[in-house]
Amino acid sequence: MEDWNHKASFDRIPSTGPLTEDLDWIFSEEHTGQSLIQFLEKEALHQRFDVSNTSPRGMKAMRGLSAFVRRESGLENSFLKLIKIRISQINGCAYCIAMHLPETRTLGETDERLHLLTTWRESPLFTPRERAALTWVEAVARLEGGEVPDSAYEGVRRYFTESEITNLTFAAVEISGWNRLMIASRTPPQVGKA
Amino acid sequence: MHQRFDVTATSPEGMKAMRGLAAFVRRESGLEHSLLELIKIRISQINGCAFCIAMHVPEARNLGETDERLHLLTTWRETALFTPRERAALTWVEAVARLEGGEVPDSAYEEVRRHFTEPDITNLTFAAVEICGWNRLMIASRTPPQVGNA
Repeated sequence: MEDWNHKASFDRIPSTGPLTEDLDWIFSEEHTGQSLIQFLEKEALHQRFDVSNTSPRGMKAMRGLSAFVRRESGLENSFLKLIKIRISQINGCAYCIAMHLPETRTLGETDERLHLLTTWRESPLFTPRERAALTWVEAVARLEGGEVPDSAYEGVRRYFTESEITNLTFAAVEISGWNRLMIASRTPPQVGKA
Repeated sequence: MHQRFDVTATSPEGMKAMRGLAAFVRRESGLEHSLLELIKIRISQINGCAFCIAMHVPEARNLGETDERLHLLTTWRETALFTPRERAALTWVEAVARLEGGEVPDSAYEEVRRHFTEPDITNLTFAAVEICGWNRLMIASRTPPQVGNA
């Protein structure tokens, strides 16, 4: 019995028996209404506040910006998804990555490109147009030295109209905003949907 | 400063969406205007947006803000001129703007919780998101600041 006073080591936990059956039930989806991974995400992260519940009007305003980017910016959906995932990687927003990843697959994006998105500069899998856009939106997201370098601007001008460049900037602003809301609130990612 | 593009002219619908966010922060967030101005100026300093600073400093002055506090806003931590509530708000919004290490530290959250309700904290976050957005639009477009209005 003295073993129970020590921190459990995995080889001491029985693999069958009444204790594990209790645990199975306690963590079951039937009992908790959510999958184990969803439960663990919430436990690990300890959400600070729920953005929608605490500021529904703020969410409404942000959604207005999202709706503009999605419907009126004229940028292709699959492309917008790449931008959102890349900036979310830079800012460190798990919620946003988990949200946009399944949608990219639905739009036909390849696993290879998705996995190499962190190192897109060193991969031949992205078109010059995509590279120009990624350079631009990364620079907008990062604002290193308080600027978006001329080199980024020259690059994006080669492939995009002025309106498109403005709208790429709005897309970067939008996802940067969501990243900040989700990171600040420690909203756990909705996983287990891929 | 050679302007690259005119955000309003090239994307009026985008501007309209951003103004929706701005209107929410200004009219519905419940946060005092004087505090919102401090937040906007401070984050614009961090991000390096001259347009936004030039726009909000006169607005702050119109609300009665002192020159002393405006000038010491860059170093607000080292002066007693800002109230504990303002300091808590500035700590929080700076961390939201910077996202250092991909997070907003627990210390910032503990501090802001001492002075603000949960809806307030969410709305402070929206205010940070808003000004971060404007900063990016103005910096990316190299829109020159409107000076000589002070």
